[in-house]
Amino acid sequence: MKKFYYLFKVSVEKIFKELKRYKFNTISDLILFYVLFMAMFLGIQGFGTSLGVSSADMGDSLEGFIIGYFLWTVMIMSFVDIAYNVIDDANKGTLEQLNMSNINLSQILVVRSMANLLVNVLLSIVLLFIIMYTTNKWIELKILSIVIPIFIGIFSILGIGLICGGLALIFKKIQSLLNLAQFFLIGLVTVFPKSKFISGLIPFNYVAGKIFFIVLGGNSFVDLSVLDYGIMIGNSIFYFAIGLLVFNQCVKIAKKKGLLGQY
Amino acid sequence: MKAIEVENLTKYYGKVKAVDNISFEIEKGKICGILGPNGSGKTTTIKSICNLIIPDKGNIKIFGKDNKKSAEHISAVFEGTRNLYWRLTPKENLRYFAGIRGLGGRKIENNIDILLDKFNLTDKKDVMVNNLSRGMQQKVAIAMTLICDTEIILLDEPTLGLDVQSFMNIKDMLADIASSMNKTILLSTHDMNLVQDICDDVVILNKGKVIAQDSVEKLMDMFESMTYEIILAESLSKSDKECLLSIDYDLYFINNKTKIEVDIFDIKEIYDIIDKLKEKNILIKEIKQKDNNFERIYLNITNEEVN
Repeated sequence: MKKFYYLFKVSVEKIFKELKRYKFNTISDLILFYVLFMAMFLGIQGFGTSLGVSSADMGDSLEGFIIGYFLWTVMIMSFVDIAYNVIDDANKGTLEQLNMSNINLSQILVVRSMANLLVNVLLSIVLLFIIMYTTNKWIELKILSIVIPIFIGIFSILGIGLICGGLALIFKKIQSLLNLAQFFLIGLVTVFPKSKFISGLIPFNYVAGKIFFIVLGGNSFVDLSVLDYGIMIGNSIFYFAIGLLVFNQCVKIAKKKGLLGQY
Repeated sequence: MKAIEVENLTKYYGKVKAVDNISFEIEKGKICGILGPNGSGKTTTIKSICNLIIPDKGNIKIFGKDNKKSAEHISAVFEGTRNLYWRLTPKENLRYFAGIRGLGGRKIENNIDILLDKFNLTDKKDVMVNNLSRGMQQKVAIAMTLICDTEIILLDEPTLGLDVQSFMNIKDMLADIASSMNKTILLSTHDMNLVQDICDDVVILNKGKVIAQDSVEKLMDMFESMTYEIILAESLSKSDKECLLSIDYDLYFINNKTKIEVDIFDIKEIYDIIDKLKEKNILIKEIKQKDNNFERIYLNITNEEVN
């Protein structure tokens, strides 16, 4: 376990250092995140007002929108991070070094993604407060009640990230697939099938539904049933295991074809 | 004790055979040079040892164990890639790559300071790697292999693109690492001076096959007495040169054709060349036996010609 602690620690350190040293990119990202959200937020508000939706109903929609957007960005960060990390490290010429570690490459990528997620969630929460301040639309954020389901559910998204990372090792240019997948992810946090079974089969969908239930319903993570936790954990294990399987297979293929690091 | 054993290694890329049934061994604590022209299979061999390439045939053992289970014993620096994160400082890079291998804590922090000091990088420890010279970047990359504390270090073209001063620094550094830290080093290079100066053994590849494998000393001895230098009074004409080339020796024309170097297998054979020069009325100023260098040996072995 100690080796994963050191891996996580240096990963968090590296993210903070690079955020600081690529400060133009960091500031641009934060501004983009904020502007995009505000544009959508004001758009929805204007649209609701023009349709004569009552302010109480509008309030629910806006809170839902804020949470949906927050979940979507968290998912994108986790999912895209693995695939982009593979591409980025191959471009930087450091992928071979990661591959030579005594820690499996998939484990390194997952731990690094978790570190990235932690940093990004912290930044997102700060931005969320700025957004709430700007819009004067305050949501009661029960951080722990949100973080626990996110932590359980995010492994399903990491599994999909691993599949894309594996494909990036072999096919090199998969940006189009990643862009497409980002829009597919919107569906996971906006469309909720009525059947628990179907929702439980879709990655992260059930978790997203439960986060809406917690935030909008004024509930807590203890209000979720054992079945809810069972479905969330089962969904995460299933997609994460598939992700690991596909990724390790892709590494094997890349090693056989001599493709590792050759960009 | 054998640190690396390569047995019948074969690797195809599509229909191209990059490495053809090669076998060699490297003893613990030795520096071995792997030489060969471009495309001879050096990098494929090194990457196969690191388990970055899975061979089609053959076995690779690290201290007697399959190389796929030996990641903790091997670290490497590759040519043509950066190996490091350019927006991190040398100290941060060393800490990061130790962390990637699950290493950290006070001992690693102390070792980082020791390594930076040993490689004269202490005053650059907080400078981003992209602002360092090529030689310093290479030093940081080699230090990165040492912070991982592996017994075997593989280096692909470690001196490529370095200036003379940096070359000397890296060369001394590698010799010191092998002797004082008891590391086994396998390096691929085109630099014969590096091989001659620091390598114990050498494996020469050509077209994916091992064409020579021995200690540098033995190879030097084998060729020691065979190179002669004939200094002429004036430069050779084109026809004279062609006439000399018609005799069956390896001749090298140097200094605007005022000097001929020849590799012979029997001392008496020098008279054939002298007779030929006499026949063409070419005046000889001096004949001397040349101190052999590894570059000539390598060229002899790989059958390449230099004029």
